[in-house]
Amino acid sequence: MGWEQRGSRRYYYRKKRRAGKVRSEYIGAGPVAELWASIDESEHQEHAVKRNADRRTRQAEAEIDRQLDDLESAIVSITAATLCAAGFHNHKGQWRKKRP
Amino acid sequence: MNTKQLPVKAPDPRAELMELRERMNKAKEATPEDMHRLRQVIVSTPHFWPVATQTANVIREQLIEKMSSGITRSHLLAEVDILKKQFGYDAAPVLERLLIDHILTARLRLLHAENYYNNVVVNQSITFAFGEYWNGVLSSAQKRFLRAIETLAKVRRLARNTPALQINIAQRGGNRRSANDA
Repeated sequence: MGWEQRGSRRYYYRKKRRAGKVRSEYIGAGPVAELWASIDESEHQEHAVKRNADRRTRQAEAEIDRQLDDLESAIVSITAATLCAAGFHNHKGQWRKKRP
Repeated sequence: MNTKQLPVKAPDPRAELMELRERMNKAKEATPEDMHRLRQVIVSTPHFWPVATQTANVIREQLIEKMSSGITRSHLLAEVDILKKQFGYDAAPVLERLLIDHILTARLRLLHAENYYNNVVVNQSITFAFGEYWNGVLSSAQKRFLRAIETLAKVRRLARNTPALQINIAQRGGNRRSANDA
């Protein structure tokens, strides 16, 4: 993730986005940097898992809403058609009986 | 030479229904031909009614499965049955049954959204975008529920003085029922 080679040594930098720009934050080198890198990596993976779960949830919810939208539009059509056939008409959103 | 004729594509009754409805809504005075055709389309497509009811039932089952298990599921199913009775489902005309089914489905969707909102937004730390998304889901479920109830109320009010809401619900033959019949 944030390892950078300087000469013969590797240094760990944490990348953070602030105000639309990516900033590098120096963490260190050696075993301590390795430890920080593994912590960051596991956090990154945890976020990715959560993001995937959220995406799946959104997809499932969108599918339910899509089915309900289809059902609602069919019901609206059937209701309006039945009312029209029974002699009603829609006047500015209000159903009125046609005058004889 | 192949003389076999290709089957003629039948017009989509749902599209025709929507088109007729739109035309009649736009026109100040609907033509008698349109009125007659609309009546014919409704009478000749009784399969629309059970399809819509079945779809509502399928969505309801999906929602109940997602929301609950064991005792909670039994409670939810019992509650649906109780509400059906309170709405007068058994004695209601066909159109109203369809609308009652839709209300029950919309109500379950609302319960599901509220339940999820409580679990996700109130009990956990989430991103602002995800919280906003769930706010949207909840508010759209509330609006849908309200619309469903309003439609039933409107139809019941209009049907009070209109015994002519007549729909043929038979699959075959002429078993015609009034929409106001029990």
